[in-house]
Amino acid sequence: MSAATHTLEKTLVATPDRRQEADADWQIVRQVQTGDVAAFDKLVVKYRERVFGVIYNMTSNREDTADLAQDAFIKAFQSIHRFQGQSSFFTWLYRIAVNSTLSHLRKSRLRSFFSFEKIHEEDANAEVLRQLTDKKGGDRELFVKELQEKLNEAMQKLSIKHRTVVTLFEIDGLSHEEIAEIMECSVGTVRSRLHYAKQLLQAELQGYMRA
Amino acid sequence: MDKDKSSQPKVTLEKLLRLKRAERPPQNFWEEFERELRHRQLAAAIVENRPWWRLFTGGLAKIYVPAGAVAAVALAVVAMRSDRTAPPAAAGAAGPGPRDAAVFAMHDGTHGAGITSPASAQAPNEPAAPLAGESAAVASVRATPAAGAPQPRPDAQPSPVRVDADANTGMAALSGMPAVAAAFAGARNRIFWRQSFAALQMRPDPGNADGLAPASILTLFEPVTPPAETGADHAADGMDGNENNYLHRLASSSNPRSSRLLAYAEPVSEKDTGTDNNPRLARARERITSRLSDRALVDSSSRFAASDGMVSIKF
Repeated sequence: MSAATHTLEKTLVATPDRRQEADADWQIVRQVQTGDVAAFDKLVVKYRERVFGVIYNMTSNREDTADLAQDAFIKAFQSIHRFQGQSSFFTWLYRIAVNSTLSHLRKSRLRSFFSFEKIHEEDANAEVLRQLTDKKGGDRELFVKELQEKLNEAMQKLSIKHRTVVTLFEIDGLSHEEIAEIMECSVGTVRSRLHYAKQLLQAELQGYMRA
Repeated sequence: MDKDKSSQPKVTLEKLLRLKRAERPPQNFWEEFERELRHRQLAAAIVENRPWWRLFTGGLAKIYVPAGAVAAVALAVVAMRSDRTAPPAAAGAAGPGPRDAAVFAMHDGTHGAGITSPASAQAPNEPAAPLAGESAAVASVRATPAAGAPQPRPDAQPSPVRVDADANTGMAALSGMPAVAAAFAGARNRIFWRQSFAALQMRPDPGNADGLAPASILTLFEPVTPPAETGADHAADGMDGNENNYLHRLASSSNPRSSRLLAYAEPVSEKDTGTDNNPRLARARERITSRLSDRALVDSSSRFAASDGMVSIKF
């Protein structure tokens, strides 16, 4: 049994998928640690979109997100010899990314420029979009853009930590335990922050939910 | 119609938030992303990460060390210039405070050079005995609580004489500076220390005929005045040069080297001081006279010069 699997069983809600994923990552990490630097590219390709997504939903800025995601991968590469498999690689990588993003957001608290990515409607929940546009009427594309802006505005009204929890739980689909491990806090804290953040978001997005 | 509405699933916050999962960059974005990542990875591999403490030895040291040196030099220059330009009374009044130093001339008879600056003038492992053996100027530089009225050193000499304001201020300005104090504190700077204070020309204090006072250390930077002029100055001051001439006291001291050198440095005063009675001086004179008259005089004639009854020897 690998160290990563052992740790996952101990600390996380280890679904079979997560266990397989952790094992595969651990093998790649071992390759990188033994000198096969090119193997790190596999990890970049595997996690770049997820890392980008987490950072993007925290910053709502495309350029900052690209920089921070690259920073996260570079930091992970530089520190990979210290990774001992005490957590899964993706948790470790997420922690690096989230901490970098939190640090960046604290530094640029007063500066906020939004640059949104386009919503890929084919990937979105088509049924929700259809429901919303049918009731609102009008230009569908314009409506989707307006909804996107409203969602991002509501997210930006949350504090950095509340935004992070909502991003990791609701958008990225991590469990409370994984979020607690990434943010280095207790599961109860994660639940509390999530509950509070959702209350605020509901108040902000009330109009869309009634529709 | 209403039945259709109620059968439709409700739009929840979770569903709205999951729309953001579809908010993704286009595919060509990732090519650029990977290219930039490789560049940055390469740059990070080439540029070595410096530890935090290297900031002080490298980056900040490059800024602060030269700046500190320049500031110290500028401070020294300003202090020296102000000492030269300020009138004596004003200079004496301008330097109150505990760090001001008073310069005292020791009473006659003692050739031990006691030079003490505020606490740090002498290295802890440096004994005072060798210094006392030197025939350097007898001066004491020490801290006084009120510079306007410097107090004599209570433990040393019976009648210390206060130096005039000019000399006092000069010493105070220099000894008050950390750079000068540091220069005097180190054992390695002993040569500088001795030479500097040996260069202090003792001159009579107007307030006390028995006392001697060193001139300002700034006279080190003045053009050298011939001995005859110095003697004339002393005569103009109305002082008894035989008794108070420090050079003569040095000449009659127990240090044979200084006696020998100083006896020939100022032959004009020879008759006044009565140094003919000094057997050491007589021996030294014989020795040098024999050298002058021998073949060595021819070999090293370039070292000697005679004018106005004086013989100068270049060492």
